[in-house]
Amino acid sequence: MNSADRCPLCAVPIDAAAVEAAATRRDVRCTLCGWTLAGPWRPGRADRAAAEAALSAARLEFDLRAAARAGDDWLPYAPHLRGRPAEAQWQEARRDVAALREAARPPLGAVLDALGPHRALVVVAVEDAGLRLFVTGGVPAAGPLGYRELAAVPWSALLPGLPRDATHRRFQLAGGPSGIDPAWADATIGGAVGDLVRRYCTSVDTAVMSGLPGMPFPDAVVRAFTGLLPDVRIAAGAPDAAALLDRIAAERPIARPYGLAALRARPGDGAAEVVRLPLFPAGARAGDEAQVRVRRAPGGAGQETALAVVTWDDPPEPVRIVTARMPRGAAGLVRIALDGPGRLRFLEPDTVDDAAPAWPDLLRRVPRRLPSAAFATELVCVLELGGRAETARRRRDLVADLLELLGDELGGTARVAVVGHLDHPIEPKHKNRDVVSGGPLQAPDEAARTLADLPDAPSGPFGARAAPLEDSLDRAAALLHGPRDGRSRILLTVAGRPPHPGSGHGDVIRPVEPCPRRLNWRHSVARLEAAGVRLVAVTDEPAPKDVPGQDARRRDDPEWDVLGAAHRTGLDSVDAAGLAKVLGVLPDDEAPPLPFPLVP
Amino acid sequence: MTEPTPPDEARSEEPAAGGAPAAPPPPAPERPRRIGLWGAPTCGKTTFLAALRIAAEEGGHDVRLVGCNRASTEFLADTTRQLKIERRFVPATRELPPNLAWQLHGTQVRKVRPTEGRLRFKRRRPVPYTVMLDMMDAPGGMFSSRPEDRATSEPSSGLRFSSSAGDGDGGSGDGGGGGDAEERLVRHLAGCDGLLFLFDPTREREMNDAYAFFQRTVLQISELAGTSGVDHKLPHHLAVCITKFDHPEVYERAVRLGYVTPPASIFGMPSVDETRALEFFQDLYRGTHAHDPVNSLLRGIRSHFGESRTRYFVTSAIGFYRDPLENRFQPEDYLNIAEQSDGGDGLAGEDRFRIRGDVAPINVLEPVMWLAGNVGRP
Repeated sequence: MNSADRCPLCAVPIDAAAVEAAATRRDVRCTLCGWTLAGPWRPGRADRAAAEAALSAARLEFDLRAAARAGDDWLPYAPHLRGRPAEAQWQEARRDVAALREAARPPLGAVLDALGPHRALVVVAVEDAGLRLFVTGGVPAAGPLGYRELAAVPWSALLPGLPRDATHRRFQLAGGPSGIDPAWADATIGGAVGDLVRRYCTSVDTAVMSGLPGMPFPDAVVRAFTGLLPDVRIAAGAPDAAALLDRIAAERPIARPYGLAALRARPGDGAAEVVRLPLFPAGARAGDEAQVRVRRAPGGAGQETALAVVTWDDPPEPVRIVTARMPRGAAGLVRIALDGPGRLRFLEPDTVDDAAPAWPDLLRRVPRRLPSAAFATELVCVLELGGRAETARRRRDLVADLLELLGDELGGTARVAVVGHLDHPIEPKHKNRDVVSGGPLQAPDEAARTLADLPDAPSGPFGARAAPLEDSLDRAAALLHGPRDGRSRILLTVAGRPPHPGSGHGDVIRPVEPCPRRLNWRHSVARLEAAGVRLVAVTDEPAPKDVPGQDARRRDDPEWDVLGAAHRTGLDSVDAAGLAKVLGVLPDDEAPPLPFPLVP
Repeated sequence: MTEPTPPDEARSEEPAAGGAPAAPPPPAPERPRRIGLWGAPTCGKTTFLAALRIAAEEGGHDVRLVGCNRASTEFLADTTRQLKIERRFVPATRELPPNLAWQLHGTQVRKVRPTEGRLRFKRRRPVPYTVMLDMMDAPGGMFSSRPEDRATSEPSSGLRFSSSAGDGDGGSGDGGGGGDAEERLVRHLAGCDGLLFLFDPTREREMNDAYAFFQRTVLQISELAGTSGVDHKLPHHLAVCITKFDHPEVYERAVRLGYVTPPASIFGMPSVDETRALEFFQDLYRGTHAHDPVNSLLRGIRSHFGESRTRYFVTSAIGFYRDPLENRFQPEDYLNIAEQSDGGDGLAGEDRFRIRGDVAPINVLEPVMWLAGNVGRP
């Protein structure tokens, strides 16, 4: 198409032959801008210069009106103006455009309020870059933020032929000469809009808001929606619809409850599962606060935990995920303020980091089963108080260190009992004297106080071959009984001498007197095992190493094989941290950290 | 001084324990026979002696054990107190008085020909007797046939008594050298009428040296003692005491092999009847040791001592533990010692083991009474 096929003013295509034929009878004007394209011959002298001057002035006027629609300043569009305007011309163009502004539209917030709390609204925003469709309203589809973008359609898809340059495109959208046939534009836009309507707007309330009111092509889009959706609502436009929705949604109640993701062992099969601890119910608004207690994964003192607030949908959607270092103690408090849908402010812990793994990544880190360290623990520490004084002190120190560590790591989720035993009195008349002391299952800090109150063994010789460990085991079996209910049960024996046999004298070569109370330590162990108790022993002497040709059992007390069935170690080769890992109350160093905190 | 002090005339004139019949007057006591206590170190000679006193007083036998002098009396009183009251084994005393000797007084019913009257037929009468018990103990290695044992155990100042469970090393004496000590010891044993040979099965399991202790000494005794006159063997009567019957190692084996006599005493203590003691001795290690140490020992005993003059006893100085409430033997809890520790390098022998309950000796007096009743006879 050459220039003769276009309107010299607005550059829309014309049918030159039809114009020429019609011009024999009358003046033919451009249907878009009204410029006289041709007319019959008239008598008189032709003034070509005046005609060209008039065309130039009209062109500038035409372009300035487009620029006035596009913005408050013509300078950004100067490259596309056919001429340089005087200030008066620019102001006149702005006045003309202002006079043609469409009627005021209701704000989008009013449209939403009119809908009610649980109706979805598709918002079509006509913007510089094209169309964006959002869903909002009190529906899950709106997502935790209260709105969600459904689609974005650039102008290039709506109306091919518009320039890529944003300024130039805005100028043409505003009516600047584009060479696009308006009828073709309406049809093309109508087709694209039809597709969007069918895809997103069927049976849903729809509102159209144009950020480019008064511009021909954006108005064509609005007309297309109006034509296809008779009930469509037209809302006041905004340059950035997402920002507008953001502001509107922030003032609205949350549509779905929010919860904090935490891990627990599923009742029944014990598999690890992510659960939500309730934070905000549906309908909560900005200004509300919620708190929940979670348990830091044991061993996570130096690690950050992901605090993920998610919706109560299935599957849940993340609202905000942060990482934080949970405080010491078992049940850490998480306190959150709601600043609006999707807007959460962590009050406790007060320092959080938004650089957190994505929700799918966190879910991938959930192990099939939780490590035993994650469960509530019932631990009975059986402690030999007698024997060599220095060794007895080291045994005490180890248990004291362990209790301190458990207090830090597990707090109240660990219930610990300390049971200590002195030697049976050698005098037969005192043989039934109770040699066991200690306390019930209690918090580690309280157990530490019980430990401190345990008596010291009197100085002097002591039984070489055995100690009343069987009395302590009897007490331990009484403490660790009943249903486990998912709790991890551990018996830690810290001793140097094995128990007295219940009857008989054991090894005939190195016999030992039986328990004067006839307590059979094997019966106690059987009760403990039936209660699901893991048996860990720390002995004064480590287990002898297997030496080819030697029977290690001959050099070791066989009782430790039973009492250290899960693990046995020597007093010299273990510290509280290592022991806690052996007990399973702290995870191994190699174990990957748990992605979420635990249900307390 | 190492030789036991012989009984003086006054002691020999003591009335026999248990009273004498009114008429006719009892015959004069015989010359006290001498019984030597012999055994390897730690076999329990001193404990045996202390237990002998307890057995004499509490065992239902009409006998008395008395010291021959103040030192011996005090020694007996002390060891008995430690064993019975303090429930401790007698310490390994380094400085024992040199002249320790004891007398066991009792009566025996014998056929005796009256010295007066018309009828001179032999009649059964209670006859008082007195035996001298002197325990000449040598340092542990002295009985050994191994030179290295003797060298290491040579006493520094001569022969001495040593009566503890951990006895046998060092000592003081009458100033003789090691060779003198050994010679005196052998001369002492050779001069005895009866010998109590203590065999500790638990020690034998660890040391396996009973035969070494036995065979050297018995050869030296043979040099001095000559023969019995009725056979070519030594003239001595020998009571072989298999000790520590209370130890599970011994007791459990006796039970397993069916040697234990059902309890009959008031305390219900089991025992091995002396008629089966030899058999048990032979079975003690049967099937458990590649080289049964009893075989060698028995061959040595039979080679040097007449069979009719040898008897075997299964003994326990402290007996079995009795529950203070039940006051009777209980098979599930009979161990009467408790091993002690100080957590360091180990306690001395007397402190390492404590006695749990009352001391109730088993077959401790019986071998002495057997010797007393038989020494001097062919």
